Amino acid sequence: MPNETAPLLSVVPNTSVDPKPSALSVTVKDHRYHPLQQTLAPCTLELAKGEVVSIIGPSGCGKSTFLRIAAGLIEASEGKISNASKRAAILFQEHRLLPWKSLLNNISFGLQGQKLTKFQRMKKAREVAYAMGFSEDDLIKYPSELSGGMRQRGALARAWQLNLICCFWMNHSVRSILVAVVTFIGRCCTRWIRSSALF
Amino acid sequence: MIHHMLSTLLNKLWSGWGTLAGVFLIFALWQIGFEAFGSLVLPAPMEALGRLIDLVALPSGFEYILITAKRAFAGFLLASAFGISFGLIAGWSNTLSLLCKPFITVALGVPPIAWIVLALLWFGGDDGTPIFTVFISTLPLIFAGALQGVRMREKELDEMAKSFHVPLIQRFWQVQAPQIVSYLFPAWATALGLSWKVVVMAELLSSTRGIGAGLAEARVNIDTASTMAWIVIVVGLLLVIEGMLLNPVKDYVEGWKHAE
Repeated sequence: MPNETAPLLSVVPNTSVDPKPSALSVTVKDHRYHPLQQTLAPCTLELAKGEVVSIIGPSGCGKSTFLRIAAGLIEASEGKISNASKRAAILFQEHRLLPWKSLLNNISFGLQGQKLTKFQRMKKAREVAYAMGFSEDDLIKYPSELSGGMRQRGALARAWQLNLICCFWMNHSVRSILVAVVTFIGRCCTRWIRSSALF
Repeated sequence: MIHHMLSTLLNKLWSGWGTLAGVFLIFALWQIGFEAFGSLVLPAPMEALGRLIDLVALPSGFEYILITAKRAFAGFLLASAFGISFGLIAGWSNTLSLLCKPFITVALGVPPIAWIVLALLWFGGDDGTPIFTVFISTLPLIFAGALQGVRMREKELDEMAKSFHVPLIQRFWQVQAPQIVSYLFPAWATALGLSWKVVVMAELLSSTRGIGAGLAEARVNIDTASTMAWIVIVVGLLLVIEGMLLNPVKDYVEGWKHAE
């Protein structure tokens, strides 16, 4: 746990010469889980469309907390976020697929927050799954029957289909991102990165 | 697909053989007991089975079984309804779970026999006593199962569902409920078994009809054959319930765990 006086995380604001309209802007003035212990010192982050940013720091310095706030999973004690797309897709460090759902149902689960009929959800999920290189046989398998890489790919498909401007790669080691990128995604992902702001 | 169905069927049949072998072993040991100690201690298995057929063939015998089953299920379903709903609420609210703790300790600590005496005073010799006794002795088990299920669920999955803006009800059904069920189910199965034992005990002491009453009658007449016949009926019904109700439900809700 960080102690209470250290300035825990300070993200350097984007000072580009040519200011583009920002896709995401996060301003945290203060964040605490416990009233007496400051978790995040004031920090800001401005991201333009197509920009890729990594947040690097020692463990326990508040990277995940900052990302959670930026992604809208939790609210900062004091601060504000504006996200051009209103929503964010999040790729967690672990795959977080539901063990009791087949791969296809897991992918379509990501669409439940949208106003789609079940048929539309299934259709879209199937398209994304095929685009991700899954075969028909894979779609009915449970996560426990898939290899580690396939699970990550499933989680990527679940987030990717939302076509959101903003995507967070939560707590990924550089290696796991590289593995994900190298194993499949090559071309599609670069295209995606160009149109997205990515952490 | 056909291959898969065939192999499941074969598996089922094979495990059926195992159960059957176990049952026959019990009857063999029973026969040895009869030959060693005489028919007053243990009647011959065949004699007890003959008595069983007589009992079931009688309209009153069949009625006794139905009455007992009705009471056990009524108590068990009531306990499930209350136990699950309170367990869920207590799992989500810390204050409530603290409030509920003493009640659970009391319900677990008071012996079922004491509940029977109390219930006799409250409800008399009718259906109320066995139903209440079953209810009060299975309630804490089911409550604790539901509470544990809510408590032990993976918060990461909730966070994931939230990040996709999945509506609250869907989040409950698709993310939380399967986890809760995997804790609740074993408790639920134990409670069902317990409800059969408790209902017979309550009837033995309080009722004039039902399997327990039949056992009381057999005791008065020093009729070991009838006693054993009733025991075989109770155990047999429990096995049937397990095979016909619990196992299919278990396969349905926990099928994903056995995926190879």
